[in-house]
Amino acid sequence: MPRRRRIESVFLNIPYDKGFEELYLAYIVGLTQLGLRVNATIAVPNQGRLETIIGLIGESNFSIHDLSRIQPSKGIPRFNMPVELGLALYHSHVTKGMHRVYVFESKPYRAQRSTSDINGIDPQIHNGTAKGVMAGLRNIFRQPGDVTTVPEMLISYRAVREKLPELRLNAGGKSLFEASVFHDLTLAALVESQKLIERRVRMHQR
Amino acid sequence: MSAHVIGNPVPTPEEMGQILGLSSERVVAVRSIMSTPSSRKSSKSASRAAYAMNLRKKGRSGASSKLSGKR
Repeated sequence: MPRRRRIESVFLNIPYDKGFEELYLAYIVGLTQLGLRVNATIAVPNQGRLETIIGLIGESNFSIHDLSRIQPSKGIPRFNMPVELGLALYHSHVTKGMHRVYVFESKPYRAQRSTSDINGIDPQIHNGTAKGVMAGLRNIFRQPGDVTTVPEMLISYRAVREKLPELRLNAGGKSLFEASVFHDLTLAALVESQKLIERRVRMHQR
Repeated sequence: MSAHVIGNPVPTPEEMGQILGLSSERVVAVRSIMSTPSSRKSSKSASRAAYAMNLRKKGRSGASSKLSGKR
């Protein structure tokens, strides 16, 4: 049996709802194309949920926390994202910074006011756009040789987005936030990544 | 803030399939979806086209559609 390759992984802490679908897809495509495995709390049952989240943070090299969703959902504010950020910060503290924590926001300086305890962390500002998410990811992660560019990631993002109905149907999931669809989105991003690599090779050969 | 240099190359879909514990058929299926040229228009333009088609049909038959009859 072939040995499984070990790749670096990132815990993704974002709102999993319809209003966040585009940015969710941008995170998956961007992170996957940078060579990272995405660990998400998708399909985690309520029973034992906290232990699962702690486990996922523990096995991830990095974590990304998107604090842009501050609006109440059906009249109730959502505190899951700040709670998970706190868990990751503690994990980073006890591992002496081995686990690196990154914060994303849609508006500049808002995180410094809403969560002033993290004033030492510079949030990446995505302005609520897929391009902003990818630019933020490229600010914090580099591939050896700086391979994938933001415009390339955006081409892949659009290609995957165009195929969402087929991918959803193939995975048998109604929502993008189901585990089976999430896995297929990851694979689709990597298929697009290979196309980018082939395109680059062809350009060099000319 | 310095950027972190990722220590591994981008995996292939097959390698990621193995890491995620997915079957090879699943990887093949996603590859096939992504390599098929998209024939459909975007949902927005598709629904606009369907709406325009309905209007044309309605114009020709002179009868109102079930949808437009409901209020």
